[in-house]
Amino acid sequence: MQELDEYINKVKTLPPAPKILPQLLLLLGDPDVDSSRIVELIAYDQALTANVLQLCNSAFFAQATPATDIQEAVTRLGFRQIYQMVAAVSGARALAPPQKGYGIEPGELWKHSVTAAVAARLIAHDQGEDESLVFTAALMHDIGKIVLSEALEHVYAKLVQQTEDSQQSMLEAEKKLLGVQHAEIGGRLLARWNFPPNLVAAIWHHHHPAEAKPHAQRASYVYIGNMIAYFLGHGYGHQAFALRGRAEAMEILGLTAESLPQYMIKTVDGYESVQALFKVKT
Amino acid sequence: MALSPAPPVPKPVLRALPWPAVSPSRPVPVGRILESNLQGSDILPRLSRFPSIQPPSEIPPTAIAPHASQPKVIVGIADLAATNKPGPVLSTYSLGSCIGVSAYDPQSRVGGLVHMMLPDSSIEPRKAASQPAMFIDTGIPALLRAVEALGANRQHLVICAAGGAQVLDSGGFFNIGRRNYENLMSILKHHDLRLHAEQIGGLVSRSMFLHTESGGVRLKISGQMNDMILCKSLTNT
Repeated sequence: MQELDEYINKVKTLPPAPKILPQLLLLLGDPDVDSSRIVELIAYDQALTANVLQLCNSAFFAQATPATDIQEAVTRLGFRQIYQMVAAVSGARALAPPQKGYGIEPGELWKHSVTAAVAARLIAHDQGEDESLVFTAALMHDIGKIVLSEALEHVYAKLVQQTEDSQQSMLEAEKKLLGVQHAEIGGRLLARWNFPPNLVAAIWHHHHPAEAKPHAQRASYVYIGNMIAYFLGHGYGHQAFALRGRAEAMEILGLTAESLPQYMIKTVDGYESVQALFKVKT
Repeated sequence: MALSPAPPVPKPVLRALPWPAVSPSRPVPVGRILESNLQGSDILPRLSRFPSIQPPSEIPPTAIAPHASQPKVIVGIADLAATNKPGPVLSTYSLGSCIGVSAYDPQSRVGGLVHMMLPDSSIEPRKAASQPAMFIDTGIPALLRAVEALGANRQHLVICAAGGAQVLDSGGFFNIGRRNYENLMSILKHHDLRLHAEQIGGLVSRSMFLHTESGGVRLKISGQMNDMILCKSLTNT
């Protein structure tokens, strides 16, 4: 833990913290919450509000007359939808810049993250799980890569070689070259940003979901969402597919061999909403 | 000397076949074994099946893209496009475990590109009826029908494939890339067709471009600076 903190402290530019999300998740989880508190919390960040409204009024979501404030947007689309838009706008601030260390071009990590988030949410929805939490976890699962990218820029040739020659996963290669890996760095960063422990665990263990106990289920949603994003081509950078297949993630969620292709189809069917999120302004 | 009448020119069409127009269950005539009239030097050697990162290609992309200003036609995921009007670059992005297949007849200059996602339509037959390009077993017949409807001769088709990436040590659940490739090969065999070039498997995602002006096929591979030429220009123009 100390090692991770030391690493994070040394990094020159950290992604901006999506401050509002942990508080919103807390409010959304409370059945007795006063809805005006949620609206107030979002409206407090004016730039964010403007971007959420823009998304809300974009071609895919728009209705006959545009929503002019958050309250109206909530009335029309519901809290869950608005939450996801807030998460998307906050997430894009952190995830949209290029990450040279991984050979990631501008926007690629963002597309990967959105696709993973939408796929994971679909599965969580079918299983009656907390969609907002799973969406957020899958959206932010690779935020550790932003932190490591700076260091990796200088050793990426080695990273590619490690993954290629010895068939190591990107995670294993990171650990070997840097002493830390992106999943634990991401988890630690989100813990410092006051995200709830189940979300932190889901991100920390998104490459080893069985180890996330008691949050193995949440981590498995993120794992499968991540996998679907890769399959649909929204993997990115050097050796994008250098990750390990974990059959236990499917078993933890009670999914069968046919579920994976079916969720791929569902994700593609909902692609319009995914593509609307690709274009989020920050 | 009397001029012989000009052969009828098929009307140029792009995306000629709206999906409901073709039924995936319709039997497709099986062509005879492909005798390519292309010279060996026209086609790059067949690439390894699960290649590691390729060295930058020695051929600059301009070798097959003399008309870089040609409009792009984007073929989305589970989508297909074909044209008999040489010019546009049929382009598909984000081939992960999905497989892109191009078919080009250098004589009629008809070309098509399909972006297929899953090996087998039996898991969602209704989906396959409305969107045959989603599955390998319905997407390949749909591609063949599309280019043949525009005047391509099956015996002249130059077929290239890319995609089918695989995660590490993927067991039964996660081997979709490999299953896509295996089914592609068996479907092509069923139609007595073969691949002229392929860039399949590995740990990368790819974008694929068919230049319908020349029949050249270019790949962009994730994390790599240089494009790769999968198939050189097939025409002299």
